[in-house]
Amino acid sequence: MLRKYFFSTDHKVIGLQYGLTSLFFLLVGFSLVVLIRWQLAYPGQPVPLIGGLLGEENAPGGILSAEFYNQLGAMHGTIMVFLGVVPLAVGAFGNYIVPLQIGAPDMSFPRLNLASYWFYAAGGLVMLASFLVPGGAANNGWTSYAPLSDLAPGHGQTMWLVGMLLLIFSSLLGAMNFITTIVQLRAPGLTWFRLPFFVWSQLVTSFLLLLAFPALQAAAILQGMDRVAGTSFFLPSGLVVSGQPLDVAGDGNALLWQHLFWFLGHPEVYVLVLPAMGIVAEILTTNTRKPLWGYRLMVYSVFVLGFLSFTVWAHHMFLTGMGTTISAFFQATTMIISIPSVIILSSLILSLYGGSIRFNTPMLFALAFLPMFGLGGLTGLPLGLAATDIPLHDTNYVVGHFHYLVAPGTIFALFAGIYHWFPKATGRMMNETLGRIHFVGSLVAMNIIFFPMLMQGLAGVNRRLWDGGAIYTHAQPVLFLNIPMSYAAFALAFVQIFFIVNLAISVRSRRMAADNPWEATTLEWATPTPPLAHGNFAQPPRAFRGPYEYSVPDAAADFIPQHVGEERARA
Amino acid sequence: MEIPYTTEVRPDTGVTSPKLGIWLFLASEVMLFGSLFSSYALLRGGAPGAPESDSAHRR
Repeated sequence: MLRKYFFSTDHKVIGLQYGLTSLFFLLVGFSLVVLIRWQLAYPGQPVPLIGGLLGEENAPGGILSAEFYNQLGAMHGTIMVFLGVVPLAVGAFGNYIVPLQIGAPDMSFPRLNLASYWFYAAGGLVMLASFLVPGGAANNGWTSYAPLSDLAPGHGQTMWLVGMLLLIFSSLLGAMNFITTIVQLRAPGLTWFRLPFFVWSQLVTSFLLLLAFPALQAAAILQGMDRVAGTSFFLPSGLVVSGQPLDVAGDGNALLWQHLFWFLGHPEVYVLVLPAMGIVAEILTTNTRKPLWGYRLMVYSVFVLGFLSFTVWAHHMFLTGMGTTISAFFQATTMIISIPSVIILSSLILSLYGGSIRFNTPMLFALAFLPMFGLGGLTGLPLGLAATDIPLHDTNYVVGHFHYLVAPGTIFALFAGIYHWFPKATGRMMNETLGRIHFVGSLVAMNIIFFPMLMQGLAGVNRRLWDGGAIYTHAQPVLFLNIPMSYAAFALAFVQIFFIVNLAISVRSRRMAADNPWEATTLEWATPTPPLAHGNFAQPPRAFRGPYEYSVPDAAADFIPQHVGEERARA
Repeated sequence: MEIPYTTEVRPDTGVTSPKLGIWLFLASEVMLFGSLFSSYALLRGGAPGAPESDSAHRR
């Protein structure tokens, strides 16, 4: 039993472990932000109901202390990105779907896969445990900028670094495994350009994880040395803290941390986005009954995107005074990288044209992804140009921008993927009514939360303020927006209950799913439902055609699965 | 269950899976040590007593 559910080397079990753990962490990360939203709407008022449970040190009298507020902010970002969205997009969907879509019996290195999950679980545990140590969790923002993070008292930041190293190790093991699996274990006949777009997006994502994460690994080791061993890699000479000159060796470079962090951090953004695009591409073609528009163009674009994502990191650092020449270079690369992103998004939108669209729950989430992701992308353009970034940097505008990309963008795509592949994993259909309530509620609530952030940011309200900007005159005209935003956040939390209930009851539902309930073409639907515990397929599959042969003229049905040969397709 | 290509070479890619895996691991190590070495170069170059760009000509 332990071997079957906890220490299995089956990619499907590991995928589900990743999925459930990362959904749990998404809930934790979201709970932290619900506390933040209360504080922003009603600064300095005790948190109702649970205020007393937060501990006297964190919330004296139920009022969030400024230190605890900073912990919540830093850990919300860390948990959402590194423990929620990436493990769900790559660990869960990548593990479960990729071997099935390429017709493989398992991953190339099943035991490495198992190790990857447990490193992730250990990293998550260290992050959660850091809330309990004296001084609390890391409170220097999810970016942990030096020298603030170097000098932060307590053990929270050190535990953050240890947790990050474990998570990085887990990602590296996973990335090696994914690339090897996709290269080596494609079924006979599944040539490169017969791969579904989701597999391509996972391949590029794995390269980003493999090559970008080591920079943060190095940075975390150096910062750990600064904190524990008294080195000063990131501590410049002449630092004065609270009026006292700091007794360190000095001669470090605080900007070096930012370079190393964002060398990971920007490819990481594409790690969040590419699997989402892959999921949306699969769901759009299935539910429009049409081939993907510009499949090859999209594949080339995703490669260009992956490559360019290594050349744009310093657009996060225009305000650091690194020099106008460097700024000019990075704003040029940033403008260039928007081209492949727009190609992919446009191709997805064009794929809808002339389709006979089925509006089921996964399709609704995938359709909402398109305009929401577009809005997130467009609001990013002013941040990529140094001149407009300088007034907008570190305001709520930035927060609104990247939340549009990640929340109604990536997380919507992940929800879509859960509704789409749930029948394959469990053999049961999810409830459509609950799914629709979840969709409409989430879409409305997220827009009420994130759109006012753009307005507040344009008015100059900074992010990460304990009182939401109440002491600043320039914030007064937009301060009232905090109240509807916060109520929308509470509503968003309420709507997620429908999703959790839906998951719980659908696992036991009597609505059994057929092997191919959506009439899709890719190889994961050629397995029995759920796929066989060892080896997935009843007999080794063979691919005869491209991934998206929907509505082919003269065909027997409006879809021809990849594993169906020529005679059976026409019969 | 047998995972294909763990010991024999896949004909169209020309490698075994462990070989490819180790090459990928080495690529990530290159990035790790590349980051550490470039951090060293940056810090060394910025330290007092570091060779100036024209020091070879000033003797």
